[in-house]
Amino acid sequence: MTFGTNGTILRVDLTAGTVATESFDDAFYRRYPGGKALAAYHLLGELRPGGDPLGPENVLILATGLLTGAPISTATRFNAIARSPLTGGFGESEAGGYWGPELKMAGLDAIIVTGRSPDPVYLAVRDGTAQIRDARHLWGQDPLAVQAAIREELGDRLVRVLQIGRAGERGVRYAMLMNELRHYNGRTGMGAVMGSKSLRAVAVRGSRRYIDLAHDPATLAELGKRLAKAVPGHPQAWDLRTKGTPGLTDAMNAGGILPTRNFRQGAFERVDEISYATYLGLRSGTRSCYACAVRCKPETAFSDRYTVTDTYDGPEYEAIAGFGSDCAIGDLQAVARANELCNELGLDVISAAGTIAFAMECFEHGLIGPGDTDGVDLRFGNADAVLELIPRIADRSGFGEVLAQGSRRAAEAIGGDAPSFAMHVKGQELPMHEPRGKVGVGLGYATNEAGADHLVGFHDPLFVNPESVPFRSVADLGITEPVGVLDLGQRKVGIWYTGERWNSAEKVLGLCFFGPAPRSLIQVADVVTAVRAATGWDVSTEELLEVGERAVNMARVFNVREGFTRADDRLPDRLHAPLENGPLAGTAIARDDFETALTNLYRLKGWDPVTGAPTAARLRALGLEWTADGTTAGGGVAAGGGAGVAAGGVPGHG
Amino acid sequence: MKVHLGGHLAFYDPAKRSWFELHLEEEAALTDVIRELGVPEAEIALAAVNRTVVSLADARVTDTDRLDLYPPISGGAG
Repeated sequence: MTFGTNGTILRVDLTAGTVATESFDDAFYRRYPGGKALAAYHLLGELRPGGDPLGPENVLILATGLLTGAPISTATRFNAIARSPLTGGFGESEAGGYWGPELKMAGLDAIIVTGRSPDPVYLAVRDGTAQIRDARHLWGQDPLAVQAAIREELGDRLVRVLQIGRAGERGVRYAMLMNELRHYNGRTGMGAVMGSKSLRAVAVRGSRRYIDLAHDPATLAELGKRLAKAVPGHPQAWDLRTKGTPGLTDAMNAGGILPTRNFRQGAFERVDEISYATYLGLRSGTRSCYACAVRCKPETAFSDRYTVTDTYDGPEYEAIAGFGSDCAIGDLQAVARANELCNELGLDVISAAGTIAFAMECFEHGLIGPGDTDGVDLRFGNADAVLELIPRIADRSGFGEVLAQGSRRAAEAIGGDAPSFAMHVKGQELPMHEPRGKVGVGLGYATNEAGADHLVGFHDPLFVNPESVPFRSVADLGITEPVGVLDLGQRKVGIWYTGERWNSAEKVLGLCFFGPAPRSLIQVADVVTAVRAATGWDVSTEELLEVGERAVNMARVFNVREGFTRADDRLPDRLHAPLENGPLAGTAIARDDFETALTNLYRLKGWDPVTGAPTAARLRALGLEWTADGTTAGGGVAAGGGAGVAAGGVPGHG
Repeated sequence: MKVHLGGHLAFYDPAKRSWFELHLEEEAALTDVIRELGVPEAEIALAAVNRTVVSLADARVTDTDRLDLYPPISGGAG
C-alpha cells in the first residue's frame, strides 16, 4: 500500500506497439519518491551506456513528482528525462501546467516510453489504461490544431495534451515539449527524443483526486488552504503574482547582470524598450498552473509592428533577455513574436536565443557572412533576421540546419574562433543569468549534469543580508551566515551544496522553484508537513535533502558512464574574462578561485576531486551501491529486468 | 523625485505602486527617504540614483533625481 502516489507506472513500447503497467511498493517510493529520482532510477537501469539519444533505444520517462497534483500551490511539476541529444548526458527538463496533475489523477506516477513507432502515433491515457493511436494526420500540424483534433477524437474537451512541435518532429537538438500549449519542458532536447520515437502527443484524462491518495487528507487540505490565502500577503509571492518574471529585467540591468550581446556585456543601452514597464503595455493577462494561487504566468496579445496572440505563454524573463538584450534587440514586440514562434514550433527559447546570439557574434567577426546564412543579415540587433531564422531552425533548412544542432556543434562546423563564442556548458546554452555577478549560479552551470541551468541551486543575492525575507526563510536548512555575491569561499560552496539538494528535492516532489523558500512563501517546515501528510512517512528536512542528493548522484553516475569527467564541469572562457560594461564592468570569475571552489564542492558531495565521479562510499551512503559497477544500474536492459533491481538491494520492485 | 520600486519592494508601498513621484523639499539622505517610503532596508539589494548604482549608506538625493530600488535578484522561469 502506498500513500501519496499511485504506486503504478505505465510502460509503452512503441516498436512492439504494447502498453503495460508496473507497480512498486512504499519502500521503493520512499527512496525514489517521484520526478527526477524516479525517472533517473529507470533511466540508469534501462538505457545502455552509449545509446543513441535519437535512436529507438533511448528511454523517455515522464515522471510526476511525489506531490504533483496535491492541492498545494506550485505542486504541479513533472520531469521529462532521457539521454539528451544536445549534451549526450543526463537530459532533464521539468514543467508545470496541468498535464502532470492529470497523469496522477489518471492513476499513474510516470510513463516510460521506449522504441520507435513505424508511423506517427499519439498515446491516449485514461484512468490507468492507454491506447496507441494513429497520428499520421497530426504530424506537421500546429500545436493548437493538434490539441483540438485530439480532444475531438477522444470526445473530451478536458483531456490534457502534452506534445511536441515541428522542431521535435524534425529532431532539432533543443526541441521542447509543451502541455496545454502554455507550459514547457524546454531544456536538453526532450522534444527531439519524443519526436525520434514518432510520438507526437500524450493525451491524459483522469478521474481520481490527489487528496484521496493522501495518508492524512485533512492536514494536506488545510496546508493548501493556508498557503493559498497567504499569497497576497507574502512579499515574494505577491511579486510573482503581480509582476511575474518580466519584472526581473530592469533589476538585472541595474545590477549589471543582464546578459547582453552574447554575454559580452552586463547592461543593455536599450533596456527601456524591453523593460517591465514596456511589457505591461503588451500584457493581456496572467494565468496559473493547476491549483496554484501564485498565478505567475504572463501572456501577451497585440497587433502593431508585429502580431502576437495569447495562444502560448510569455514572454517570460528568459525570452525577454535571450532575444532582447543578448541579441541586442531593443524591441519587446519583436521579442514577444520570437517567443511565440519558438513556442508554436516547439523550440526551447533559451537555447534558440543563445544559439542565435552565438551566430550573430560569428557574423560580426566575419566567420560567417550572408553567403552562409541564406542571405540573412545576422547583425546584432536585427530583429527581422531572428524572426526569419527561427522557422528555418525548426525545419532544419539552409543555415537553420547548422543552428538546429545547438551552439557547440554549430561552432565546430563554423570553425576558427567560433567555439570561443559558444556560450554553453556540456553543449547546453546558458540561461539569462550572469555568473560574473552571481558566482554560485556559475558553480551550478558548470556542475549540473544536464548542462547550464539556473534552477539547480540558490541564487547568490538572496544570501547577502541576514535580515532579508529570503535569508531568514532558509535557517531551517542550516544556512545562517551571509555571504557576498562574488565570494567563492567555503561558505558559498556550503550554501550552494545545500541549495542544490533542496532544489533537487523540489524536482523529486514536483514543487515549482517559485514555491518553496527561499524564492517564495512555502516554508521548509511546510514542505515537510506536506510530505508527511501525503505519505505517512516520518520524514525530516534532512531526509528530503538526502532524497535530493540521491537524485543528483544518479544523474552524475549516468554522466560518468557516458564518459563525462571533471573537465566537463567548466564554464565558457568568456566568464573568466572581464565584463565589458555596466556596474560590474571589469569583473571576471578568477579561474583559480573557481577551480578551488569546485574541488571544495566535490569534497562536500563526496565526489572524487580529480575525476568528478561519486565515490563508492557516498553512493553506499545514499543507497546507490547498485549503480557502482559503472556500466548498468539496477538491472534493466543489460542485467535482465527487475531481478537485477532486487539483487542490487532496492526494495519493493514488484 | 521619480521613484521605482522593483520586484517585491512595491509590496511595501501602501498602494502597491511600482512607480510614483515623491516630493522632496530639500536634499536628503537616501536612508531617510527609504524610511519614509516604508521599505525595509534589509530587502533592498541595490539602489541606483539617476541609473548609477550608489551605496545605500552614503547616498544623498534631491527632488530632481530618479531613484530605482531593487530587491535581491533571483531566477526567472524559462
